[in-house]
Amino acid sequence: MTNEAYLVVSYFAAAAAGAGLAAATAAGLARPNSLATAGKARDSLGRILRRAFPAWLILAVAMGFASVTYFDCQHTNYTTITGDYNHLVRKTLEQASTMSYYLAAAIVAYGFVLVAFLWARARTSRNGAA
Amino acid sequence: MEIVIAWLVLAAVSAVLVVVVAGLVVRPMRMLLTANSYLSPAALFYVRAFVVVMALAGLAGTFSSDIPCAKQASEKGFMEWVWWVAEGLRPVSWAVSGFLMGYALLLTILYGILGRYRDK
Repeated sequence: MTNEAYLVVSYFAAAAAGAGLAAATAAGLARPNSLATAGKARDSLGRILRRAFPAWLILAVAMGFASVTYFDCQHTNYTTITGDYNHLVRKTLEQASTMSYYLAAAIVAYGFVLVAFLWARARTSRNGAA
Repeated sequence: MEIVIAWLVLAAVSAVLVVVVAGLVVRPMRMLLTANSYLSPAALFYVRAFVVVMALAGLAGTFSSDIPCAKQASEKGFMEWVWWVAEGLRPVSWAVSGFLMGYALLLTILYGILGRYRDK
């Protein structure tokens, strides 16, 4: 396999793997998220959260994927990039790492959003305005 | 070939670290999140999300270890590979501890807000 072929395959494979990871995570957390946001009180808000959650995760992975650049001081154009196999491997691993970081951060950030939702629901139900 | 073996060793050690940390925290977290009926619907989400976050942190740390180029790799001795694995554990530990602290903060805020409520 030539370096250019490796670049094409690894780039799209990393994108597909990231999207698959986000989709699998969203699917795995869909039922617990439904349980957490279910109920009559704040129902429309819960529905928004349930629908936004998969998009939130996929966007986080896309952001991680797009944040990696192949250009640096030693690799200033396409020829120098495709001429360095180690650089291509490093960048593929960096993409995998960044996508995982962003996905984990997105889940934690969603956890904070869920805190606000649960608080709003608790206040509503205690005030008897469900 | 050596680099593949070294990377697999690093991945295995990272997986053990993640499993140990998650194993230590999951049970008390479950107890904390069933304190009242305002917290308990979200218990499954927070516990499962924690396991996923820890796994992703381990994965992110493992992937961010620096890969030596082919010439350097062929000249490495056994102890140099051990050092490489040890060096690779730094980003893994950093990611796992960072996300653990973030999650601890999240749970503290969650419990601080909703843990004071008592069921009617």
